[in-house]
Amino acid sequence: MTSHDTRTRQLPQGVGRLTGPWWAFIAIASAVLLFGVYAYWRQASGGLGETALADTGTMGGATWGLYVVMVEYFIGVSFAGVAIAALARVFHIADLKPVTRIAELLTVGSLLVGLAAVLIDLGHPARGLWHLLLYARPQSAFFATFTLVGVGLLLASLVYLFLGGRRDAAIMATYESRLNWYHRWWASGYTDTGPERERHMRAMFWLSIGIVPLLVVSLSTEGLVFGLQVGRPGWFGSMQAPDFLVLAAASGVANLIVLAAMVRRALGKAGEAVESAFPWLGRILLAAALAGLYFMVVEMVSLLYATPADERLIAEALLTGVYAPITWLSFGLMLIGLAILTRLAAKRAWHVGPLVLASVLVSISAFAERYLTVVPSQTHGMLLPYEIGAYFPNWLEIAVGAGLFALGALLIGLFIKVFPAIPMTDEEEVSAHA
Amino acid sequence: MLPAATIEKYEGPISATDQYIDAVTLRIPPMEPLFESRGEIDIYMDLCERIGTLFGDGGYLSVVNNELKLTDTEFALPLDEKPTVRGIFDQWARAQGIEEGIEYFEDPSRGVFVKGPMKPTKVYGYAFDPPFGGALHRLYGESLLDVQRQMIDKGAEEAYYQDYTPFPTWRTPTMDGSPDDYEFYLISYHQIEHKQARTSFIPLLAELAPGARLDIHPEPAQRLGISDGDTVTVESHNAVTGETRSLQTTVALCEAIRPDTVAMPHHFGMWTHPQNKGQGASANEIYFTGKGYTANTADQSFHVKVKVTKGGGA
Amino acid sequence: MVKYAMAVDLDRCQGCRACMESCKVENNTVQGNFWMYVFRFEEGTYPNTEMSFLPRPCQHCDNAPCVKVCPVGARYKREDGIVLTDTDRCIGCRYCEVACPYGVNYFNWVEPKKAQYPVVNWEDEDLATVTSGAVPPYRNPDLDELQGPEQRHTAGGGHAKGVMEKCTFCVHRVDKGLDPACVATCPTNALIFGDTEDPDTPISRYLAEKRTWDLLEDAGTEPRVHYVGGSPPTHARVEIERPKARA
Repeated sequence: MTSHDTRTRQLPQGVGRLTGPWWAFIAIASAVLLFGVYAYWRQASGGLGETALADTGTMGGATWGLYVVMVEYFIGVSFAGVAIAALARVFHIADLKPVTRIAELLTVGSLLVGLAAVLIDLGHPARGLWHLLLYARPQSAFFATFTLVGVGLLLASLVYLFLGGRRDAAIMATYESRLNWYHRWWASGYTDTGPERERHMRAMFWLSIGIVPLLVVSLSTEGLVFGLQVGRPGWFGSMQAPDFLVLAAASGVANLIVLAAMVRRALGKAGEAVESAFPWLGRILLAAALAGLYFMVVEMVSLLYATPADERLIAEALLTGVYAPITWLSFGLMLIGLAILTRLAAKRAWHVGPLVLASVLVSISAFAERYLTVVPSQTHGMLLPYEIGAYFPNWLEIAVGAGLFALGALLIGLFIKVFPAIPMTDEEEVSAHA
Repeated sequence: MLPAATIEKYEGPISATDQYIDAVTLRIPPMEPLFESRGEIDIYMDLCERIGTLFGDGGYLSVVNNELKLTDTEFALPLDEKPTVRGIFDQWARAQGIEEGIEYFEDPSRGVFVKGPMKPTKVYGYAFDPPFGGALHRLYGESLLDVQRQMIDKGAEEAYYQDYTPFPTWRTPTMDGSPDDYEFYLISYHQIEHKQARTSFIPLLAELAPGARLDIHPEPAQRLGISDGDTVTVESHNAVTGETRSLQTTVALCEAIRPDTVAMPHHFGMWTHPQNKGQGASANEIYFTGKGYTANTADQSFHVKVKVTKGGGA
Repeated sequence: MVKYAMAVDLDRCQGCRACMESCKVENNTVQGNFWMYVFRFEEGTYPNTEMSFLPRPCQHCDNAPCVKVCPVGARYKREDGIVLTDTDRCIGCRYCEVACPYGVNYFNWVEPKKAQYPVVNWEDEDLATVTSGAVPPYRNPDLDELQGPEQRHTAGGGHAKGVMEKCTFCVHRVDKGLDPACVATCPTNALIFGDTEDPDTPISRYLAEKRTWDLLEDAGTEPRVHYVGGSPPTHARVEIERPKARA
């Protein structure tokens, strides 16, 4: 047990200590974000015409492009974070406990970024917020993106993150620091007495159980944004929802692994705790990526064999045409990622290096898959014989997209300097020093 | 100062007969001429007044009296007073027996003055008495033969007079004398969106029919290594003089065109208006006039043979 | 209750695209936007080739996918069958555009004024002395009026950057008892418009006499535009003579 005196000197897990590498990280992320903001300013003043987007049909473009891909990707990523955290709490998996907060952070961060991408994609972002309050139509599948996914899930995860962090906040509040007010605010009266602790645990358990159906419903509707479109070959079908979930799981766990590895590195010795989670995360990723690959193969086979006339154009574009490089890149990266994961699993040695590599590959593959869901059905999926279209994001969209990634990174980077990224162990006590 | 647009000025009298009923009308302007433009009659009167030929015998007003058949009638324009244009036509209208004068024509519910049925002698006599107002009737072919004889008398070469024949006759078209590598017949055509070369700078129309192109069948195009949208050089050959002309344009593959023929619209490439930028060249640039090609009779087509090569330049 | 519909007689259509132009002039739509669009198709191989035309206005579907997906009810269907966009409410998410199987939606990607048809510099001071400051394109004041019993801002195009627009069946004309501009312009009477509830209107008689088919019947959209003659388009038809899509 540490004495009260030491606690006045140093907060745990590097909180409050701004190191050189951290500043470098923040500087780079801020620079990318600023450039993204500049690009968005250009778009906001000139209109979406500044992007490479164009009307489908006679203009031969894609009206949904990189931004919608990012919405789908980030909302997918958010799924895994909160699911892993819930998993650890419901089944009391001690090995996963150290990454629960990182997972919640990932969820909140990617949801914020995903919702920002939704607003960025709108022709009238201000109206988007205002008119949704006034005129929302729950019959629209897009309603789920705005409300269920947006507000519901975001609030749920914030509550989850907030409640789950109260105990740690109470511990942090026992330290003398400039952040003391913040930790006291977060602890909001929690003092870690016996009954209080029990109530806390029970609340977290039920929250964990409650959030899973919310997740599945809201993310399925996200898949249905595409799956309900009769008029768009390549989209219509009930597979969109499960496909969305599986890919969401794979990309989300992959990102969680990368983030956990980064935290591990940033925190030094204090970060070693997360290592216990890697074998679990690795196995979950292996399972999710296998399911993802299964969906990919099933899709390809059905494209190759039983293609309705209207989908043939899309099938050709995906397998041998303009989108073929992306298709095979996505497929190849997923295969390589799986090979690495399988080898790690066989050896039962989850080394961080190869695991992170596999995660990055799976994540890129999932991003490419999202792109292939959104774009080709617009450029090659017109039911009337319009000329084949084309779309590739221009510099402005890529800059805004990179800015969104940077925003997420910045949020997480700032967070780990004001709050412990890894939940405190049960041995840490609050009341003794309060 | 410019003459006013047709709609802004008085014009007439205009015959409105349908060969059975004799009728007459006037063009009544619905508005004053715009800006500083004026109707021709106003311009002529001012001009004549300035140079002193408006008034008196043999002056402009006396000519107008003669032309409108007002001379020596009670409606004749006085030769010492400058009338308004409306006044001139008012006098004319009264001379036709219309009491209200020009107001008759200004009333939109009337507008046309029907004189009554035409006399049969006037209708049929037109053809017979005297025939063609006294002119001799000639067969069209007879005129052509006459032209041919005159050209021979003046020592013209056969290439010039060969197509002036009294009866249609076949001869090998001049373009077929071009070397074999000029393998395509070039025809030019009209697009429904445009009127000659004068509408290509109207943005709405240029959006629908944006510019020149070379329509070519996919089979010869493939043989020449040309695909849709490629830039090509089209070179024409004059089989009489050996002269060649060329232009560059973009390819539009067309399944419906004969494989030995290529075609270009003729609406573009005639203006330097900013709205015409990038519309491409006119097919007219590579046609030939003169010897063996365009003759006055136009029975020998002006078509040329061309060769098409991929890429610009050459 | 009046129910409007349009018949498109493909045996009469000669593909002149006058309807496209009259639509643009009537509705002030910007460059590259064709609320009414006429496909020109080529099919077969030489010498057995055939040309055909297909006018494509908004189909004003009774089971409109665009109406279903709109998250704010900016895209809605009037009782008389006309599908409209409330340009004051649209948030610009473009979900209607991806949902529509016909490709009839056009987004205002930039400030509409900047995408209008340029001829000369209308800001020029010398020119302003002649035009008394009026800046074309001529804008029909009806387009800025609120339309119909709902009193929503739905007529015409080129209203604002970042909102969706499409064919309105010229609602501002129809509400006055006029035909849509494309119908009024068609030189071959290939387009017929009117009330299908009244059996004595020209369109009711026309639809009763002729065999009709709908565009993309399989999509289940139940269009209010019916085609007469010709045949449904397939991907065997190659589109030719496309307009310049975007300036």
